[in-house]
Amino acid sequence: MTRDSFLTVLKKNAMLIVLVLVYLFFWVLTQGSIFNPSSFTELINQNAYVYILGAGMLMCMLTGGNIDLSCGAFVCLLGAFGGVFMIVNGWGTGISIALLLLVGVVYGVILGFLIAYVHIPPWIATLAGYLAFRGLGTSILSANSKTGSLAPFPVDFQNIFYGRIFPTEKGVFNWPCFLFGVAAAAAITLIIFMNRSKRLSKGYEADTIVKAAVKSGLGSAAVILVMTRLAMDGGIPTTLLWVAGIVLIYSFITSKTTIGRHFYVVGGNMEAARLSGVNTRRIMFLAYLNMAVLASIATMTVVARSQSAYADVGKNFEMDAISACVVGGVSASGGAGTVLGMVIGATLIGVINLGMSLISLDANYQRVVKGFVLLAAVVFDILSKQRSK
Amino acid sequence: MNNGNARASLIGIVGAYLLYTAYDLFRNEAGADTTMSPAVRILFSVFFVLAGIALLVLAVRIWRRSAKEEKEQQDRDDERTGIQ
Repeated sequence: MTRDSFLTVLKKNAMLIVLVLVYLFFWVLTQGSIFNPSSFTELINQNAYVYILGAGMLMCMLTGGNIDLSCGAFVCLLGAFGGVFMIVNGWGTGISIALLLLVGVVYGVILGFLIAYVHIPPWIATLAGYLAFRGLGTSILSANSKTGSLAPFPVDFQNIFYGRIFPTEKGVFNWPCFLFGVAAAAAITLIIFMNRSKRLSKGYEADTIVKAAVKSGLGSAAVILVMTRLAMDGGIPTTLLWVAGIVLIYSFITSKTTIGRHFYVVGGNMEAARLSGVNTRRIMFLAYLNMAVLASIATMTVVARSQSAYADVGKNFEMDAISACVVGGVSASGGAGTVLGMVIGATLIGVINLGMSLISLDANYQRVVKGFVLLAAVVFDILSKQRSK
Repeated sequence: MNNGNARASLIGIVGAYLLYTAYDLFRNEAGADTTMSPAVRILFSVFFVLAGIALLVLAVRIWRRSAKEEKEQQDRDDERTGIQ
């Protein structure tokens, strides 16, 4: 491998390398606690909302650096609705979930219409939600509870969003979890090699056999490692299924579908996209409708985990989602970024958060670290843009 | 909304978030449990205030440049239409 190609590989996988280094750093600092099975479960459960909202924020940012400031406050409002539906009114879990998704769709339609067709700048339209929804959610909670929070949510609701598949006792090896990991690793290897042979058969450039083998080996090893640790902690969390499902769906949409490519085209040059026949208004509308629906799903994972709806839920969620995207390489100008990048960004932030809480780092220091991470990511983006000019 | 405006908004929002972080640190939201000395807290607050303001200024500059480019493009299009 030449020096240039080594540097190219380093540059292309910079965030992944940073993630590994940060993980190793916290491994030393926590004396191995971050490698405990429970830490892996906690990483997934604690950060599920970042992956889910990150997928939505990615689609918004792809359209031209647009963001949604209201998603965190919307989680608070939806949590309040969920509490009223399931705890105060005693409605069934199924009907409550359907209603929460419906509320998400309604909000998404209104927001998408205002942004795409009335041409209100996204940051203004969503700022209104950011300011209004938390107040509204807090009012609903106060009106229905003396303590200002509603709990507990029904057990079946918690099992759907914070349960385990084929649960076993902690410490007992969960074979279904491990076998699921092996199957996922086999699927990754198959997909990488199938993509490679498809590209070669069409005459495109493709990775060498060695590169493809290394890629699939590392990916499979990571998946098997994670699933093995989860297998020692009682099994597959249902949160992981939600996150994995959403990540896979959006990965497919952004890389294999026409409409996914349209998001990139609109973000690259909206005028050129419009003149090429892309319905740019529909893409903007879909970006924000999609974000609202994903916020509904994120709400359900969050309230199921906390087992209550309370006024502070969703605080700073929008900044976490934006951080995950920016750290993961999604361009602030739009038109560039991948779901995998967002996942790496979200995982990096999750590892930093988990590591800081495992070493019981002071809340003020945690705020400083988060601020530095976001600042570094934005500065990196600004410098990259200047260099490319 | 063009990309320049959106990029400016994002950078501006990050700047505002850093100012909010500085405010939280200054007010010592962690309360009595904090191990961070007041001097260090103030130092970080000042840093984040400066960083936040820098990003806000950059956002305004990007927005103004983007608005200028949009106007120039509009003038060019109008000229072209006039010639036709």
